[in-house]
Amino acid sequence: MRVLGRVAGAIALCALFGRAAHADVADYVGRTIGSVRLVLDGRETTEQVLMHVVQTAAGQPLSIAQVRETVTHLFSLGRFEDVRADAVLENGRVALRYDLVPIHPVARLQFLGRLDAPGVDAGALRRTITDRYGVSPPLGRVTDMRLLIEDALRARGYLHAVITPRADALGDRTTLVFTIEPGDRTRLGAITVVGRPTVPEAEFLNRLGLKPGEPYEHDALDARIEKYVAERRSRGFYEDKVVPDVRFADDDRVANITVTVSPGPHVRVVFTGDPLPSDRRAEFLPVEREGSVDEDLLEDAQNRIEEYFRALGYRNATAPHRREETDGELAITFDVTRGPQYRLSAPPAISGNPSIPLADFEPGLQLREGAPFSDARLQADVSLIAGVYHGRGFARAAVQPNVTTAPTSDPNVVLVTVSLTVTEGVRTVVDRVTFSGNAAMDETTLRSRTALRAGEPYVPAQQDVDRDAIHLAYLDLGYENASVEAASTFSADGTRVSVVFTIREGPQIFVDHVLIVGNVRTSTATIEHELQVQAGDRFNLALITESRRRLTTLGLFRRVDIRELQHGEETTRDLLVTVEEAPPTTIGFGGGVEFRSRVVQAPNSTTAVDQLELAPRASFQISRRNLFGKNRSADFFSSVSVHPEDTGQTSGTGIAGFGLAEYRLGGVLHEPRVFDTAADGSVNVIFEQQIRSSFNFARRSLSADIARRFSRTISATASYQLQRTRLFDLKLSPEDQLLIPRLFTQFRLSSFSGSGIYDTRDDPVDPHSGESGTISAQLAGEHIWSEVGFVKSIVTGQLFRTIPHTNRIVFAANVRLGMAEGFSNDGQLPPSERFFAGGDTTVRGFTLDQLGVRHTPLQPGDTIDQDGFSVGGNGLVIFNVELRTPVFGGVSVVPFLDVGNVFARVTDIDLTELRSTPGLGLRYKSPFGPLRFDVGFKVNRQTGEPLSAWFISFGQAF
Amino acid sequence: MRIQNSEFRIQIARALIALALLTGAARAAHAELIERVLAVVAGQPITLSDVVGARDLGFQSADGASDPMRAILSKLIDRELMLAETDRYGPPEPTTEAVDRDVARVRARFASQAEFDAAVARSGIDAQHLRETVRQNLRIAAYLDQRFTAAGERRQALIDDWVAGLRRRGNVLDLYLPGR
Repeated sequence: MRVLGRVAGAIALCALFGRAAHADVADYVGRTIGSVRLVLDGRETTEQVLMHVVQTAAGQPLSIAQVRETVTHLFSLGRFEDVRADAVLENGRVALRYDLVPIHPVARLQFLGRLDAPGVDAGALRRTITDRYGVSPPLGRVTDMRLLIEDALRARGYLHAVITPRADALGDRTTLVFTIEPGDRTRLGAITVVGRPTVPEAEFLNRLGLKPGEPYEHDALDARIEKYVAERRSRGFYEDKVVPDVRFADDDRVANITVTVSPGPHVRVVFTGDPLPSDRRAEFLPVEREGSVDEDLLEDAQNRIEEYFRALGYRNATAPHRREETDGELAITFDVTRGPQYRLSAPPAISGNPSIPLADFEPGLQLREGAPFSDARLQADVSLIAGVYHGRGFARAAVQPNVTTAPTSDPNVVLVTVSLTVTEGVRTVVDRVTFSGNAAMDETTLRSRTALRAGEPYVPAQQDVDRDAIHLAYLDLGYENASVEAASTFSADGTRVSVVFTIREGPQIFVDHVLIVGNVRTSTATIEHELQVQAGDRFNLALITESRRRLTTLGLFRRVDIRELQHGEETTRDLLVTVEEAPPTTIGFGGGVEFRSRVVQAPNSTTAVDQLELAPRASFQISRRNLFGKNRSADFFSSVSVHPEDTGQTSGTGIAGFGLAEYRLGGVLHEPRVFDTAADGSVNVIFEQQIRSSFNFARRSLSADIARRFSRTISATASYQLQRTRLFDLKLSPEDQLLIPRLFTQFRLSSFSGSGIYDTRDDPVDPHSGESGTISAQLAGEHIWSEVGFVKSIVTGQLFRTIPHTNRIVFAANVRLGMAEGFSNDGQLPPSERFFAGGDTTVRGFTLDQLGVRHTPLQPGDTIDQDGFSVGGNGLVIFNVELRTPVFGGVSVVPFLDVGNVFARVTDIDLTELRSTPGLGLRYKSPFGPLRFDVGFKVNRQTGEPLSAWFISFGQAF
Repeated sequence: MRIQNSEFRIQIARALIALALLTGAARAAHAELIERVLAVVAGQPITLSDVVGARDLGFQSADGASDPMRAILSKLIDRELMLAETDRYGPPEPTTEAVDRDVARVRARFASQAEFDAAVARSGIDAQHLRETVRQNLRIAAYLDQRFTAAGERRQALIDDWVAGLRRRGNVLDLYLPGR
């Protein structure tokens, strides 16, 4: 036995030793790491994306901070429902293992326990969860789900249900099990009714579902009370109230309920006196919506009615109310009296404003001659004038209104005269602006961010803007907790002020890691290219927002989220970029039938007749985005319509049926950052055949473009184009045939072109400020497989300025110079490549393409032929100026002057030959852009020329 | 027979000793869980070492709860929710002196520098992390002072209601499920 005793002792010691050997975390910290393994679902992995975020390495001492960082990084990848770090000592070194458990979706919800208890419905509980969290709820929400189930059971009378959740994993699926112990169900005990319901008490209790011994279900009781009260209110009993008071007894097994009923009188609302618009009465007095006729509500209604009339100029409008209760009915009467309407007999007289001219206030004033007068408008004008003064350094400026009235012969109208007296006070000038607490940014940098300057007017609002600008500058540098305070100290006479910006910088934050998750098809490099922040950069919120915008703009993702992950460390953050990819392929198709009337040649005749055609049409489009994960995309589009055969158009058989087909086949390949440069490229191929009344054509074209934006304002493009058009079935008069070569390139044209663009316009459609300049050049030649050769260049410059102290009148100017030279013997270009002018975007006194040099008799170098048709030229000069003057609403009046001409050769350009056409236009700012009407008049009209030309079009002229 | 019996006993004893040693060795080789994500609040993970650190450095206590891990984790979840709200409204930045004072207070909880160093090493909290935690706590306190001006129990009740609301609205992923 002694031996057994010794053995038992040895076992105990060994067990203790074993416990002692069961190391504490502290036993690993600081020891050298022997190995680091990642185990994914039981198997070791060396997946690059995972290894990339591991911060612990063999040979280094173990740091829990690094382990924590690794675990949070791995977890943040969004692929795992659990990440654990285990450590074990092997030969005195730490063997570190990261166990990664992939997300196992909850495949099944199971309810166990007392499901047979009355009122416990497992199906309803399941719906409660799936309605909120879907059919595969995340395990991380299990606590919330437990609370949901508890609430659901409480509503059925189980006030103390115990819910125990458990997750059972089987393979890669998880069953979420809730074991339910509902406990005792609370039942109704004593039921007392206080007050007199309008129906017999038994019926009242029946409608509320109250009966001793029944389960206590508070949600159902509340719903029945609400229904009862709503039904009473719909019958005019707005003050009907039913309030239950529940007291529990017997350890909450019994609920004793006292129901207090306040039926309230029947309410009738009456408006007397001047009429109120019937469609606004419910808005003025929302008794039914509020379910109340308390005094506050009635007073608010009275105020609303009076304000309504006062805004219409009825300055003395009153609408007092009274309550009268008779025979159980409450009558609420509003006596509406509008009184006379006050109108301004003259514009407000403004005085005491030597420092700021009236023109600076007048456009914004609401009080106008003849308009209804209201105190609200008067106050708005006072605030406007004071605001203008404050904005110009008169911090203590005040405006005193004075209103005088004069009755008229019409008792319903009173004339009002308003004078506004300005007390300007002293003008405060900034004495100095100083900064304190700034270490990261020097004073020069801070001053460049602020607008307050010594010697300039002091504007309190500008001080706030400057403070925010400094704060933003610090945020951009990663000082996310920086704070800036502004303090101003005035001189005794108020004429000078010193401003101090006090800065508390706080710690500067840097980006530690950028984790990208969710991309399956899209390469990580594509995403990284759009990110404006990288590991090691300052934590800049503006750049993070810009990164999100750029990623969204790619169009590759349904959702883009960039979130910061905090370290324990004060100065570093990780960025977690989560993307959800959009479907890469979109397909569109359609079909239909087109009816149209078309002019065709009559059978066996040369006369034209109208023919009603029926043409079946079909279209198909397929787009594939994100090809090879590189954000390149390819689009293919096609459409075809088949038209009836007509003898004049085809050399067909004369058999009735479908003949020529209109078709358009095209493909576009977009390649962002082509050849790993900052330029975006695209290749377009188009084959098309179209039918016109007088001719048909088939066109083939290929173009390749590269565009690069160097900055927000400077960009450049380069392109190659190969094109040929073939015309057939021509049925044109000789004069019309002149137009054909101008519009269609009936030879093979192969050309390179390039352009440089500088653009600072604030709005490309309807600019109010900025400039733009474009230089473009095109080269075509036989050496590059073109049938014609030429060089052509166009220089364009534009300027837009809003004229100060006007109602946003915009001065716009445009200059366009075109120069070309053909490589043929005569130096001429083919007609389709020549310059033409005249029309709504060039010189508006001439109809489209009808501007040119003309002499009588015809001289060499003229660009208008003897029949009055323009033949185009190699030189072009155009100047335009406009004054875009807003009038009212979205309507503007635009006087303009267009000057220009087309010259046969560049050397023929002669400024004395320029034609001038002043004119006038109207613009309407429609939802689709400016709608434009222009009429231009020729100065020095020549023989045979009409005086004017007019145009209706969209968009500005330039 | 007696000899045989004695030898049998010795053999049994040797077997048991061997078993015990093996058991001990097996235990010695048993891997220790040193880190794990326990919750994610508005995208910010709360890990096992965060809970250990909060307990050991005295930032949070379990208050005698039967599951101390759950109790401290719940408090850290609430703290993270409050911190997110605090960041939204940006109360005044605590002074360097205030942070220094509270860091010193944490250090003072330990009998020696060695004990303090062991505690911070165990929870992976370096000096910078400690200062940041203290700074965040001070910011939360400043925000609570700004927002809840009532005193005593009333103040705590208001804060509890507010935190309960944050929990309802907040994006909390609680991964600490017993049995997992």
